[in-house]
Amino acid sequence: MELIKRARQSQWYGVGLLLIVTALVWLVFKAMCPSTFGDPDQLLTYLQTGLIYAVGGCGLYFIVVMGLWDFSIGSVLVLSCLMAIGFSQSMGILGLIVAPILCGALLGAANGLAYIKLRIPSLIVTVGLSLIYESLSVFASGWSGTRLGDAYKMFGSYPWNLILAVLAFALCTFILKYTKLGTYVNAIGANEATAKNMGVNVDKYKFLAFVLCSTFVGIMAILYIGYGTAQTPMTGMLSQSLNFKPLMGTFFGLAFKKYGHPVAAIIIGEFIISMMFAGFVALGMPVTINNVVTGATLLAIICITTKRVKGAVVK
Amino acid sequence: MNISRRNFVKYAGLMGGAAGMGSLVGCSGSGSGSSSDSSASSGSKIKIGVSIWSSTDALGKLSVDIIQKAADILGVEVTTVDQGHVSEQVTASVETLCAAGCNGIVICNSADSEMTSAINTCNDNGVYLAQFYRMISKDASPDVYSLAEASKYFVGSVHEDEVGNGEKLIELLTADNADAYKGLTKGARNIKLEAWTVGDATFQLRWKGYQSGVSTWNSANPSDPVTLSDPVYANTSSSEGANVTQQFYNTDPKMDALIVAGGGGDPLVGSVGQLANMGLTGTIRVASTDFLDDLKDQLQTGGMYCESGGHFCDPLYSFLMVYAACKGNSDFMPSAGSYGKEILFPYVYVSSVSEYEDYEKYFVDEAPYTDDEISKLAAMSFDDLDKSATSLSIEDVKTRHA
Repeated sequence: MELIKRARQSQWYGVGLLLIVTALVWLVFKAMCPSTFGDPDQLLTYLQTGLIYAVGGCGLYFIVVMGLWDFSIGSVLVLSCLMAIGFSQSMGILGLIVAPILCGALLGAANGLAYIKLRIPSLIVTVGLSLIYESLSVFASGWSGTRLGDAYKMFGSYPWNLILAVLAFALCTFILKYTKLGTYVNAIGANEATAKNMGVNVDKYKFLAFVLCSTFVGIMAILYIGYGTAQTPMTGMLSQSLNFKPLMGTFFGLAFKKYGHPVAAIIIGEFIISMMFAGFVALGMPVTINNVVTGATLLAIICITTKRVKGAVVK
Repeated sequence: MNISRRNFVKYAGLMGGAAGMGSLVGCSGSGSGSSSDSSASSGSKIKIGVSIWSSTDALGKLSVDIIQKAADILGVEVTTVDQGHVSEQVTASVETLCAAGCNGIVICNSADSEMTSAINTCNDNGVYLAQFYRMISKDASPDVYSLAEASKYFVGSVHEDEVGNGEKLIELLTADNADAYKGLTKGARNIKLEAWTVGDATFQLRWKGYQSGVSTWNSANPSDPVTLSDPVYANTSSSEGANVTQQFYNTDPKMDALIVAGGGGDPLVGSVGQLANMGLTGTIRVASTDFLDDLKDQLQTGGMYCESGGHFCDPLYSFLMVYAACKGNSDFMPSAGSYGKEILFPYVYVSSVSEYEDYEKYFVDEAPYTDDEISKLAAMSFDDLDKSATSLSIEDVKTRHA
């Protein structure tokens, strides 16, 4: 009991909890399919997809922690992937890296500007803008094509995907812990009115959060296109389906924010989701069962680890 | 202005009553209920709507382009709506196209159930309707089939023999082939199946074909059985295709074939790319439907083993059937009591570089139909049109364009 009490006071308690959950999930699937799941080299493959969505989840964290939404990240991802494809053909590796990040930053700036100037809910603004970005992706694909050249797929596998992802995680951690932006996004999320009264330029930091979110999605696009190697433009709001995997990681970050290590929580959360998918493939389970159990597990983890106050207003 | 609760309820009731009375009067006054005669008069331009999953992916773009080519030749206005094979959006697309004043619609739906509202909407608006790449299943959806039979506006369906397609791909995968890429000469026995969207009508039929093909092989070769995995769904994303393929191999390194059932091309690209990343190109036979842009390279390097495709002229025939109905051609005008016209469109099967080079020459570099040929198709009777469609092949185009 004393040990648990001291553990609870540790700043790594939240991460420790998640690691225990990870181990438990691994154990369950390993027990059910000992020869086809969970070997060390297989764990690395689970991490590979988890890293991609964790980078996106880090970007989305800046938005969601303030109580906002950004449902344009799917369309930003598609357009950034197409920019990566197009500019890699003319500028090589430089184009592959810079173009999607710049594209993400610009689209994030557009999101932020629209949100601040229009004064309508972020969900509506970003959904509306995602339709425009989807249309832009159609034009972009006419110029860039939809397939990444073989020479530029290095970010789809180790070690380059890990290097880029770790740099992204480090950047996110640095911003959240050591910059004014990080402090203020948390403050605005905690109590916007108080933050404003204390002199925080709320509009400015919301704008910057949108820019950061889509910039991280641009980084995610480098990993995403390197792994998948093709991206067809999506229209008719089909890109919305790409929003949810990074968002699930963000939810882990949000739930474990109070323990002080949201980035670690996002990474571990995405790894758990990726591991569960692989486990269900190993079991030969239909995808519908996969989705049900993944959703239920997400809810269970959040419920167990979040202190719910009886009678509190939950939005 | 402040309105008391009592007055609010009173006024709302009055307005509701008035609206109800008005709609009753309107309905009883409209007679037959059909709002327009959809066949175009000699002076007005025919407008045909296209309801498709995506007009921008590989197959979608080819489909829309061939329809647009025919429309330009025939002086038809075309409007396209992307519905992503989302049921609600499929339904909405037909309503949108009818509201936009289309005389006819060609549709690639996802599930048969969507055709109920599509047919009803077209009946109500007097708009001719035909399917491409799809046909309503009489066995699986008898109610929808009956509705199509009863409709005076459902022209028919152009579709592929997807079950036959599945069987053919299994036949190609399981057979030894001494001429294949060096690591792929032995027939496959442990086949993994990657699908795209749960419940998709086309996939269900192809899956039936794959299972039938496996069953046929196992009956003939009980001591050398083939296994086919249950499908894992990769949606339409290359990244998910790559992940599914990776997990297939992780869980069963003995797999010797992968079928990527469809999904617009991206999942196949992701899967082939992932096999390359894992150093498995040329060791696992990969089969799919809908030709890749770089199929020739993939066949040369062992990235792909065989593929069916080249059926992008299917929508052209559906378009021509609706066009003929809109022009008042009695051979195509639907009659209540019969399903309408059905064209079984052939796939092109490619499993070697030389076969693909032929396909490329006659279907990609040049269009399989010239402008004159399309004009002639538009004037044909249904029997001649059907014959033209079912005989389309590389050899057919070679003969016509020799």
